[in-house]
Amino acid sequence: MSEIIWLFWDQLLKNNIVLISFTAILLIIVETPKLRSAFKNGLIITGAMAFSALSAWIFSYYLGSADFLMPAVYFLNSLIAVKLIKKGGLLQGDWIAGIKHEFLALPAVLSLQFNIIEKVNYNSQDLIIIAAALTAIYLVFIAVAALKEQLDLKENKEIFKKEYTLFLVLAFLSAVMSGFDFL
Amino acid sequence: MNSNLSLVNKISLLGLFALLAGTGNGILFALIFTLTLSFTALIIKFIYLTYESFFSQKTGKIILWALGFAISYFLYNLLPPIFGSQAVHFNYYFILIGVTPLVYAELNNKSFSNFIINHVLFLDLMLAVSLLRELLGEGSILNYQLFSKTPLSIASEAPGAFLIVGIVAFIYEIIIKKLNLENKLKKEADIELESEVKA
Repeated sequence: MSEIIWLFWDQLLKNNIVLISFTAILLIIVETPKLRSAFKNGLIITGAMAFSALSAWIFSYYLGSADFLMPAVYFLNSLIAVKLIKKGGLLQGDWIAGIKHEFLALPAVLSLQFNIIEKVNYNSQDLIIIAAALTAIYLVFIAVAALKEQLDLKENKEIFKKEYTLFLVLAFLSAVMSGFDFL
Repeated sequence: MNSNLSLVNKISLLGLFALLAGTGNGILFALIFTLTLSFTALIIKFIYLTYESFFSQKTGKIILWALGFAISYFLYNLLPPIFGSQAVHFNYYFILIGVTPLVYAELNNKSFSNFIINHVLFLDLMLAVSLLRELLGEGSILNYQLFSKTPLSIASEAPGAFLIVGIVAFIYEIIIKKLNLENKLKKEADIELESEVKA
């Protein structure tokens, strides 16, 4: 049991940059208006990502001999995941420069699948790795929403509209998640 | 998100994946990453403008995303043997070039001057971020060791990537505001658009 907890904790803290940075994009696009709604929004996003990650895990096991097919499978998984997030009432409308919100979730979901498949060994521990990755995404989502709400309230203006604040918060969060390994 | 984003903020957000993932392995790899992204964007823009009526629809857009993804996957398989020692850095981040928002930005804008401005600024940002990350994180430039001890090892890690991207974008924004470059660029783009309309 302790081994499982250790693996979960290790994977939770040592998820790489791609998960954090692409979750950042999701945070930007969903805009996390209030902490209260962020709990639900986070669940919708994490749920769709869980679908794509599990689906990629299963398909990569059965289609292991046809590696060239995998990018197409990941892409289709991502499209379904984006559709699921949209059904949850998120990713509506346009973002900037003619880009639709729904498009911005695509690389996030794709990168999660690539990241997961790089780590798995096709045994029971894989589920712990997937669960840890999804927990990390959910926690970052909630943490940034909480910080955003607090900072916006204190400053009495929408400080998070300044992208630098978001980068700073994400730098801090990814430092925490990497366990300050660089020190 | 703020709809009144400055040009630097817009480019840094649209190309955030590349700015974070493509700048951690030195200037040379950042250059390969940037040129691949711009090349993919050029092909996508060309395809979009050629068959605009189809690709502006929803199904067409999904096919366009798939095309972008396929191009970057193809380049991911083609380029590593060509670049020798840089091949070790080609990982799955490289495949994600095809789904970077910057590739699909302002596709319906027929003016290529905006496209060039966006991608030149993106190249600048990528080179500045990778230069700082290599110098501070590894103590070297183009693999030439300048410092025996790394000045700021966080720069080569994930948290440092966010910090450096933020700092570089901030500095670029100050420079552009000081020189009033954004307004000059807008004016130039407007003049070119007018001349295209007249023609």
